[in-house]
Amino acid sequence: MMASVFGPLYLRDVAGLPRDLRGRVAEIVRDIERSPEPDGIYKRALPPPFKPGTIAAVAHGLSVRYSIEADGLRFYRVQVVDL
Amino acid sequence: MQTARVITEAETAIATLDPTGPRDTLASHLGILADLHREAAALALSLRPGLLKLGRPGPVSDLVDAVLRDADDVAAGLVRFEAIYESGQRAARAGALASNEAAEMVLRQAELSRWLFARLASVIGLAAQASERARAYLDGVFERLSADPEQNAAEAEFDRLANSEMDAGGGFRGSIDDLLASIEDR
Repeated sequence: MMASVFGPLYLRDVAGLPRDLRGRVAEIVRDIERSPEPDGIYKRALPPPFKPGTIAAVAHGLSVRYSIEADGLRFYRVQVVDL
Repeated sequence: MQTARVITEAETAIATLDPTGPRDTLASHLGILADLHREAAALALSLRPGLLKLGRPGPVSDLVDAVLRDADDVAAGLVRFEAIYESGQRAARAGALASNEAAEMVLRQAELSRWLFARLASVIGLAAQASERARAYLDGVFERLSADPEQNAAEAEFDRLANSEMDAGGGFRGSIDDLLASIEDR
């Protein structure tokens, strides 16, 4: 499994979520860690202006943005998309 | 398609089951039913990976969960019924199903199979529906996510800054559980 680095804005996003949504965030991150590559279904590569390799995972009404880097997974943001 | 074949063959086998026929014919028929229940159980279980691949698609999650539960229930029922038909096949070969009471029991079991195969057909239909709705929902969300060029540029800039901070050792390194625990402590 790849190492994960959670960026400063990601930390603020997670801290701002209600407690029940934080559990869902954990579930999404664990899922991404198991299989980070885009699947064309709920994990999709984002187009420019995002840096090549930036991926968004949409699950549980949340969007998690991350990329796969040499040192592991880098998580950028968690945003509520449809609640 | 394998699903349609298994369901059709099972319906035919159930409809033509004659528990008063010769013991070898009945044993063979019950063996066919056991095989069809085994195939059907595998089909029900095969729905799980496809549904899990959808992730947890927001408003469709409840439907996905319900279909997963139904598929598991139906598969478990089919496995049990397979075992019953295998026992029945052995009993038929031994001539132990020759009474009217035994014939009635076989027919009642076949009725339960008919009901279970109807549930299988229903859960397969629901799985297709859940998949279609989940994909439509996800397409819409991704479209909305990239609809605003200014917002995208701002978000991409956030990522660039976050990368710089992470390169400099910022952010949090570790498991998501440790991260959440550190937030809870605050």
